[in-house]
Amino acid sequence: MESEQDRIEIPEIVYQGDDKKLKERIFKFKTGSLRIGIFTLIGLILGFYSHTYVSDTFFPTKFIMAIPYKISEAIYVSVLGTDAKMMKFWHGPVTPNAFFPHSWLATVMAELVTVVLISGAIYGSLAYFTGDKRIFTLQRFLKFAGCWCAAILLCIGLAYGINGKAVADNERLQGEPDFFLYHGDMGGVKDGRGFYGENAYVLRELLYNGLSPAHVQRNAEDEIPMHLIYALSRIGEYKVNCQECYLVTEQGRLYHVSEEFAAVLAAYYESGTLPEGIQGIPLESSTEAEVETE
Amino acid sequence: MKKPDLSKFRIKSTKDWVIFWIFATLLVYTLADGYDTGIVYWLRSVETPWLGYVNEPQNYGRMMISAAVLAVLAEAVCFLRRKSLRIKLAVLAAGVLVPIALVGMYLVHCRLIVSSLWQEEPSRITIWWKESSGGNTVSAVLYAPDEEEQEKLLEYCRNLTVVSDEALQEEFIQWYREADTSLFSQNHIDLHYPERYGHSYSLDLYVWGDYLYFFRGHKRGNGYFLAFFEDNGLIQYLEDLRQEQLGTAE
Repeated sequence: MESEQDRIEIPEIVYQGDDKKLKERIFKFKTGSLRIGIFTLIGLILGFYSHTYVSDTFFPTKFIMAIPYKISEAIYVSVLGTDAKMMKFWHGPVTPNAFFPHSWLATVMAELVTVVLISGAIYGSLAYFTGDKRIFTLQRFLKFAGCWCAAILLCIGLAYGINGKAVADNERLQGEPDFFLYHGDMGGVKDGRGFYGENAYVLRELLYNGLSPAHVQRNAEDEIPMHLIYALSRIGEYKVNCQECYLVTEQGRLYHVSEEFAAVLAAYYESGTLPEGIQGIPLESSTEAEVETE
Repeated sequence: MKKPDLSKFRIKSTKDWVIFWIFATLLVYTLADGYDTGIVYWLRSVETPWLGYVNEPQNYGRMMISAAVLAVLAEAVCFLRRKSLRIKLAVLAAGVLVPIALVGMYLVHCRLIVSSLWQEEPSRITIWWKESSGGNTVSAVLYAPDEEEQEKLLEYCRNLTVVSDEALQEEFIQWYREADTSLFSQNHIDLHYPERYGHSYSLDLYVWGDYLYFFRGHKRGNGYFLAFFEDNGLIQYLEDLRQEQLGTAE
């Protein structure tokens, strides 16, 4: 008896009113939201191909496709600025017009991801402006725009963060780099060549043997350029003084390098070829092989 | 299985239909880039032999693919919206006629670009002469002819005749495949015209022995498009000019 009195039954009631306006608003909200989703998806796809405006000769499509890319370019190059202008050697492995020449990943964030997000924001906003303004009010649009701005700002921050880490790692020569060496004379650099993978093994060994921080007076006249490419995605620009055996990074950090490495670099700069035995992984010696078999 | 509610995907207003077709055109036109190589090769085979790949008008292949795909899309929309047979046939006809019209426009555009050779004066004429400097080293000497020489060269170039005999063309192409046609192994004359009808025009004639030809571009399967010309005295004139200027024979 007491348990029956304690239980309160709340009957389920289905709305049976005929507020058609409310139903219509709900339906329009759902279809309008779907519409915004479709517009945004189309914007994301077109943003992915935004860079193809370069090869398009038909002006109307060229203009429409270029908008997200140019906005991204304006943000990174004109408003915020990148370290592209600091790269002095624009030949060799460095792409001269990359947003972030030091880091391929940061460049992808800037040239692709940011552009895709901007394009999604633009086309999604178009859905708001062409939709039912009684449902999709200015207040809703501001929330929508705010979310996209936050996403874009996050992407921009990530791009700069990735580039900053790349530059910091380059300063510490962190990683197992491939080499791009230059050949020239008193007049300057004439040509360059890359040494990748197994072909850079001995160079790597020579560089890191004896590499230590140095405190020397720089003699910039005798410095020759060199690029190090880390994991084919991060590029560092260095100069090496082969007479005084030091290496200087882009931000002026000095390292002592071994005489063997300095000699190899000087030989390549002068002749355009590496000394014999420097390129490729060295073969096992015959005495080592005999020990193993025993 | 519950039937999906497709009513929310239905486009109702004219405004949304306009936006749909604009987006569809943009998407199709963008995605068609890179798939038009076959069409470009085919257009190169039917265009005038005086035009090279460097001066070809761009994006016609892309527009042809876009027109065809949009026609298919429009046909699908007509079926879904149960339009009359007349409208469906009109869309089908448009899907066939627009690409054909684009081919016609392309051929006319090519002829207009090439017409500069006979209707305009070139902005520059340059000659490269092969020069052997001992051993296997070959370099080129650059020469800018004076006004009188330019007029003579232009007269020769304007009166060249393209070799049309197919058997002879095959013979010449076989020669080209076997010859060492590296950059400095032959003499070369370049006529450059400024932009007209949206494109500049260059006639790059290569001279080697008795052969006078113009490299027009690649074709599918590592082939070449080459235009060979019958010599009308141009080869001898170039040789005489070379001897006069350089004082050396080839």
